[in-house]
Amino acid sequence: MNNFEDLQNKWQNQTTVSATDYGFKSLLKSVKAIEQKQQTGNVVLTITIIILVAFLLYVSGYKSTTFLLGIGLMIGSLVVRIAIELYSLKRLRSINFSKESNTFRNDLTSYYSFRKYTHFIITPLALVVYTVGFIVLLPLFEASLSHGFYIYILCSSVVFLVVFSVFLYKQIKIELNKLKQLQLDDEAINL
Amino acid sequence: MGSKEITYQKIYEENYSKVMRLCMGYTVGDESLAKDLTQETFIKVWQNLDGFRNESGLSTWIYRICVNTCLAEIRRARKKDKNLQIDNLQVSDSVDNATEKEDMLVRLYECINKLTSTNKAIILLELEGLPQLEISEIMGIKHEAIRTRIHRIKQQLTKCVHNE
Repeated sequence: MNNFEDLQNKWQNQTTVSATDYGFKSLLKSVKAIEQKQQTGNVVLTITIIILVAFLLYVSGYKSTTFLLGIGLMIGSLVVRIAIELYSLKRLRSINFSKESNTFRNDLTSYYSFRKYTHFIITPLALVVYTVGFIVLLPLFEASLSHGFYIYILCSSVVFLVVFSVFLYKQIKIELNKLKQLQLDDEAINL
Repeated sequence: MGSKEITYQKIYEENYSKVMRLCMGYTVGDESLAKDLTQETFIKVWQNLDGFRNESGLSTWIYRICVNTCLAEIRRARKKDKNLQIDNLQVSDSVDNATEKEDMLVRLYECINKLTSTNKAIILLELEGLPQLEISEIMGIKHEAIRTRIHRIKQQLTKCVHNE
């Protein structure tokens, strides 16, 4: 195996970037920024929940069943979607990167399998429920808003739906590719 | 700086080069992407430092984080495969045979890239000169199985580099 030892020698002698004081300071900055970002994220989420609850309390005074049904479907689907995203994030963060690589791979595969289930069932369902809620509200919008503003709301919601669907599609594609790659590798391990 | 930060700096300085080299192997010599992965690895080191219990050696622990970080970033690395950035690889050697060695290093990177990500990790650790027992602890694969596998990958890699 002299040939391999030769390769090993070349590998170990290649010039690589070394640690610098500046690099460490920049790393420490990133570490602190991530911790700060997580705290900011929690604050933003708390504020969002407070606004949603306040809005629900505000609209609960309305006697229109159609309005309550429409708004309930829209907010309900959003809340379910946010809750699932938060649960996913929690699950992803709980994956221990210092575990043996085999166990880590299984944890990661299980996470992406869960995401696949979310993407194929819950996300489309949430999107449909959100759209239904919006459609239920349309007659009310038409009756209470000016024609121009009604058309604007109609058009912008279609644009939003298309943009959001494209964004979701891309996200799903990335995650499914990761799962596929992990499973391909898994098959190679078991050969 | 607090005591955690001082320990962290020591870990960073002592392990940066080997983590970077491993990441370079994963990214087919793309230095910029390897730097990102190295940074990501050390961020995970910081986040898990309080949980480090000396059950495995520090080096084994860091290699695990590095291998797993690279594994989690498979997609990003694969996407870059189309533009292999291995033109600027350098070997510290005399000018006479440096070019020949650099060519071989480029070929080595290309051949490593043909392996599955697990085999890639195993052979990169072997190239680093880690004992096979430590590689088996990092990968979570039995020592005997690792030994057989390393033997097979070594043969594949040597053949590939020499265009056999």
